[in-house]
Amino acid sequence: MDFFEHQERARRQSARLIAFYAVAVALLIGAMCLLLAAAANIVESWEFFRHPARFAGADWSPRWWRPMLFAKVAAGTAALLGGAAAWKIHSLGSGGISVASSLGGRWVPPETALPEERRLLNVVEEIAIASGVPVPAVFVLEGQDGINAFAAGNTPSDAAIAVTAGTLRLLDREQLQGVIAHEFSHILNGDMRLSLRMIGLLYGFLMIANAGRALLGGGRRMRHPAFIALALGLAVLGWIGLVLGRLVKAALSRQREYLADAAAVQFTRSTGLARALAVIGGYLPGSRVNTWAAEEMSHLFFANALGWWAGGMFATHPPLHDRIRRIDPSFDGKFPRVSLPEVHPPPPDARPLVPPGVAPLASNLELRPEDVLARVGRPTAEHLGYGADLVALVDPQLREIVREPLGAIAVLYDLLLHDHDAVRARQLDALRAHANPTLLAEVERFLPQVHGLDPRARLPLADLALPALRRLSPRQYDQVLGQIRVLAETREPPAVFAYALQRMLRRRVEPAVVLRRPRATQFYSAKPLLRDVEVLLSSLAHVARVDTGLAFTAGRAALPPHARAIDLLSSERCTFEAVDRALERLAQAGGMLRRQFLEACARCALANNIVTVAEAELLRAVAEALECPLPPFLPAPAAPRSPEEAERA
Amino acid sequence: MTLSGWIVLGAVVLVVFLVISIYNRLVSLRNRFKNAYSQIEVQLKRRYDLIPNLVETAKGYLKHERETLDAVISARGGAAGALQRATQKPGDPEAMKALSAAEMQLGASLGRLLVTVEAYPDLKANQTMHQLMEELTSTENRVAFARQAFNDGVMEYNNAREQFPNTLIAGPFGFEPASPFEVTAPAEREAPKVAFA
Repeated sequence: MDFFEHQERARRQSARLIAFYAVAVALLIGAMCLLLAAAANIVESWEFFRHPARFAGADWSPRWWRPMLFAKVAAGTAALLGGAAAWKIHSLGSGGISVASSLGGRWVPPETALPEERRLLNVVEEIAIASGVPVPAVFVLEGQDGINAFAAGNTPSDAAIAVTAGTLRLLDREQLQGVIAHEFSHILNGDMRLSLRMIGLLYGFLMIANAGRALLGGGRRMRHPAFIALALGLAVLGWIGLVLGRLVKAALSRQREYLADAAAVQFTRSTGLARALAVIGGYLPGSRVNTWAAEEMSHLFFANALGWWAGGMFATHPPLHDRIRRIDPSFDGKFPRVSLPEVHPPPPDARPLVPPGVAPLASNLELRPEDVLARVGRPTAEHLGYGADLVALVDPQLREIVREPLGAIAVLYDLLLHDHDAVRARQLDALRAHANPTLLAEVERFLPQVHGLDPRARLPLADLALPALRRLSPRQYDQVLGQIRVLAETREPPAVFAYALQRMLRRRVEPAVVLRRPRATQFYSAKPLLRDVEVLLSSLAHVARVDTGLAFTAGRAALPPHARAIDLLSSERCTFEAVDRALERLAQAGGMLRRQFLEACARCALANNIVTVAEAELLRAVAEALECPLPPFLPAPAAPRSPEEAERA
Repeated sequence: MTLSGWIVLGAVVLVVFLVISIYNRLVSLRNRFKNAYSQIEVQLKRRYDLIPNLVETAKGYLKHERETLDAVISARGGAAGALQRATQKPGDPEAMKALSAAEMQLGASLGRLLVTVEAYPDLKANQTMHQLMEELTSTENRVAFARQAFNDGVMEYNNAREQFPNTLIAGPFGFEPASPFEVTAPAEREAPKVAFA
C-alpha cells in the first residue's frame, strides 16, 4: 500500500466510524425519548395524585407515545451532539500546535542548546527531510516521567510532535528514532485527522453525561422526582454512549498502532522501536501521562497514556508484549528493569545515523517512476540515511544559523541570489529598497558559505530554514514574502528554485503564521482540470530541456484514458504564473486524482532517466502544492547546474 | 418548551460558543507573543554570555580602563537579572520596562567600551576580540529582529483584547494588557556601528 491508499483507507475508516456513530446516536435518541416520556408520565401522575379533584374522576394511565415531545427531544439531542462534535473538531482543527500546547507541551525552540533537546530536534529533522514532510513543531511535556509521545495536527503541514521529559532522559538515540518514526507514520497514514474526529464525536456523549451530572447536583428547588429521574437518565445514557464510543475508538486505535509500528520499523530498519517498547515495559512509571486531557487524547499517544484501568477492550494501544513480538519475534518476554537515576547520560549527538549498507550520497538511488510514487509518504531506511547525508552536506555552522529567523531569512535570500556578479548586484539593489540594513548585512555575511554549497543541498537547506520562519509575526512574514518576490523577479533568467521556495513557504510556513484552515476538495473528476494538467506537464517537459516531446508523452500516458486529450504547449505559454494558477486548481482535487497527477509528473520528469536539479525543484513545488510528501530523490553523479540549464523554466 | 423558550435557549448557546471562541483566540494570541519572547530571551542570553569573554579579552590591554570594564560587567549583571524577571512574566509592563532600562544601560556602557577599544590598535587587531565583536553584532541584529516579532505579537494581542466584545471577556478571564519591548536609547542602537565603522 502506498501513501494515497493509506490516506484513502483512513478516510474509509473515518466513514465507518461515522456510521457507527450514527447508529449510536439513533439509539441514544430512542432512549432519550423513552426517558423523557417517563419523566412526563411521572409529572402527570404526580399531578393526578396530588390534585385528584382537578381530573374530575377521570382515570389516569401512563402515555408512552408522545410524537410532539419525541420530535423535540430528537431535534434537541441531535443538535446538542452535532453542535458539540462540530465545535470540538473546529477548535482542535486549528492545528497540532494548539493541541500540543493544550496538553501542557513546552515548545522546543530550534536554537536550543540543551543536548537532549538538540538530539530530539536533530532526529525529527532527519526523519522529516527523509520523508519529505515539513519539519513539525516539537514540544516537550515537562514534568512527565513516563515514556510517551504523540503527534497531532490536521495535515502534515500543521503537525506537531511532542515527547515527555522521561522519553528524553531514558531513551538512547536509536530508541528515540524508533519512537519518532512511529509518530511520523501516524502523520503519513492520515491518523491524525481520524483521531481528531474521534475526539469530536465522543465529546458529544461526554456533554450529555456531564449535563446529567450537573443537573443532579443542581439547586434545591430542583427536587421534583421527574427532574431527578431525568438527570439520572441523562447521566446514565451519556455514560453508556461514552463507554460504547470508547470501545469503538479503542478498537480502531489499536489497529492504527500496529500499522504505525510496522511502518516505523520498515522506515528505520533498526531495533530501536522494539527496544524503546521494552524500556517502557521495564520502567515503573511506564508510559503514564498525567494531564487532564490524557483521557480524551489517549489514542494520540505512542503507548498507553492511562493507568492500568484502561486495559483490555478499552485499551487504545495493544499490550507491549504483542507490539514487540510483532516487530521482533525473538523477544523473550522479559523487560529489563529501568529506573531514572541509573540511566547513563545519553551520548552526545555526534553522528547522523546512517544504517549499514546504505549507498553513499554519490551513488544512485534507483529511479523508476513507480518507485518514486511508491515512496510518496513512505520513506525507507535509505531515505533516512540519505536525508542525514543531505543534512550533512550543509555545514554545521550554517545549520546553526538557519535555526533562528533572521539567519534563516538571510540564508534563503542567499539561495535566491545569482552567482553572476552583475545580476546579483541588481538583485541586491532591488532588495535594498525593501529590506532593512541589518538584514542586508546578514545576507552578505553568509553569502560565500551558501554559494559554496553543493546544489543538491539547496532544498534540504531550505527545509531546515523553514521552521524558524514559523515564528515570524504575520507582518514580518508578509515582508519576507514580498522580498522573496523581489529577489525572484529581478533574477534574470528566473530560477525554478525561487518558485519552489515560494510554494514551500505557502504550505509549510503560512498555516502557522496566519492560522489558515486547509481547503476542501472541489474536484472529483479530471475533466475540469485538463487545461491545468496540460500546463503542468508541458512546463515539466520544457524544464527537462532534452527530449521535451518524449517527456510530455510519458507523462500523458500515465493519466487516465479520458484525461489524455492534452497537447504539449509551447514554452512561451509555460510561465510561472500559468503553472501557479494550474497548481492552485489541482490542489483542490481529491486524493486519488492528485495521486494520478503526481504520477504523471513523476513519469514526465523521469522520462529520460535523468533528473536535473531544476526538474527536481519543480517536482518538489508540485508535490508541495498537491500536499503529497515527496521524499528527496536526486540522481547522482551530482548534476552540476550549468547556469543556463539551471535557469530554464 | 414554548417557542420563545427555544429561542432563549438558542441565544444562550450562541453566547456561550461566542465566549469560548473569543477566549480561545485570546489564548492563542497570548501564547504567540510568549513564544516570540522566548526568541528574544535566547538571543539576549547569548549576548550576556559573550560579554564576560569580551571583557576578559580586553582586560589584558586595558589596564588603565578598569572603570569602563566594571561598568560593563555590572550593567550585564543588572540586565541578566532583569531578563530573568521578565521571563517569568513576558509582557508584564513593569518587567518589560525594567528590562528595557537595563538593556539601555548595558548598551551605553558597551558603547563606551567599544569607543575605548578604538584607542588601542593592538586590541583592535586581536583575533579573539575581532571574533567576539562580530558575534556581538550578529546577536544584536537577531535581538532586533526577534524584538520586532515580539512587539508585533503584543500589538496584535492588545488589539484583540481591546476590541468589542472581546474586552468584556478579557478582564474577567485575566487577560492583562501586555507591553512591548522597546529600546529607544540611541546609544544602544549605535554601539555596534561605532565598533565596525
